Amino acid sequence: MQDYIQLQLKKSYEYLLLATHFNSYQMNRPGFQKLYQGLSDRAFDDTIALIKQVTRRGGAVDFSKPHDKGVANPPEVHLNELESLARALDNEKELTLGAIHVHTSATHGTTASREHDPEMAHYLQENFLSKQSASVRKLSGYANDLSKLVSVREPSLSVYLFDEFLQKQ
Amino acid sequence: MMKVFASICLLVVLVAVNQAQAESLVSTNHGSVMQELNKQKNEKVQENENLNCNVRTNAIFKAWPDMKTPCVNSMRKQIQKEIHASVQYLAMAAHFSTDTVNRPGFAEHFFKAAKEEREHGSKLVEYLSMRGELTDTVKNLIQVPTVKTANWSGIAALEDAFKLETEVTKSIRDLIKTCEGTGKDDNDYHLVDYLTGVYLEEQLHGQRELAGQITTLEKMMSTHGELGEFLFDKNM
Repeated sequence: MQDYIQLQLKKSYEYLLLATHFNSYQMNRPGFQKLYQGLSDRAFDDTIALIKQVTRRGGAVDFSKPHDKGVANPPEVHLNELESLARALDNEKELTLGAIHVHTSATHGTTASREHDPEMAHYLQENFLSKQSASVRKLSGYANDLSKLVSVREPSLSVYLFDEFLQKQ
Repeated sequence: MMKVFASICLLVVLVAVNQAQAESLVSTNHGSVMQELNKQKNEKVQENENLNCNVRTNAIFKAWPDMKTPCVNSMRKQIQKEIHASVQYLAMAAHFSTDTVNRPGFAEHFFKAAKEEREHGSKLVEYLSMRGELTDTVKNLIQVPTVKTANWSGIAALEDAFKLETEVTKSIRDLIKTCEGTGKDDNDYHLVDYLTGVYLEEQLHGQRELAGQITTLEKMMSTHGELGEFLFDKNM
């Protein structure tokens, strides 16, 4: 859980930078900005929800140690529209795997260090697993739509219209 | 500017990729979507080495964005400081949420503070975008920091929070000085006004509120000890 909380927090700021990238005057894609800002806010709220869940169960969360994966190299955020959707889809898959990982150790723990924890498993099912699968599905749909839309000679108008569509979501 | 070239070029390349292959991007169940996309791109680049892009940047943007470099750099540092404060408050909130400490009032107070600090950071980021900055320098803008943790008592946490807010206030004052500049036309009036009117305003009120809380809690603790902290928490 410690690991998953720090992952959520990290992704929250990655999404914030991605949103910022599309908010620049040179990119100027308010729809994409909105999409990633929303994902950033969600990841931050999830961070808080997870802290509450862990402490509700008598645990503690430690922010004095760095997250073990990928602190050294912040990921590239200067991506084009399609690449950014691919990145977001990867992020969402990573967050889903994180939830599944915690769920697995909560359900199949048999040793003393990993005890069977139906309450935690239930919490993740209820609050994370279906939400994550919906999010992965949505982004996958966007990525496929956009990759079809840009398969024309001059895709600027397609991307513009797709961005307009994203603004309305 | 180079970034625009690069992304448009990439888009053109991607078009070619999609025209030629017309295959689903997301059909791969293994590995990363990003890698798949890059693989398709590279294959295509090798086939079409003479793909060239002609994108002009608009000449009107010659003297714009017009923010001064020292000011922009100080803004970037300030953003990281706000994020640091946010994570620091998260750590405090997590501490007060544990069953052995059990101070839900303090916990909620610090969760709220963490959200506010994050909001402050992202508003400064938005400001830079509004001024035409952050076109190709977004990477590295924010790193999730590690923060100090302690076995805070209520009063110690409020004192640490007060210290933190005082530091942030000082750093905003320094930022304002930097953005006032030294040269004749260096003063960034709008940003200076924004920082003074919105950020300092909030900082000063925040400091006053914390100072009041510290005094009250201290009084309650000196006469009633643990009961004082218990009652204070329930009224937060």
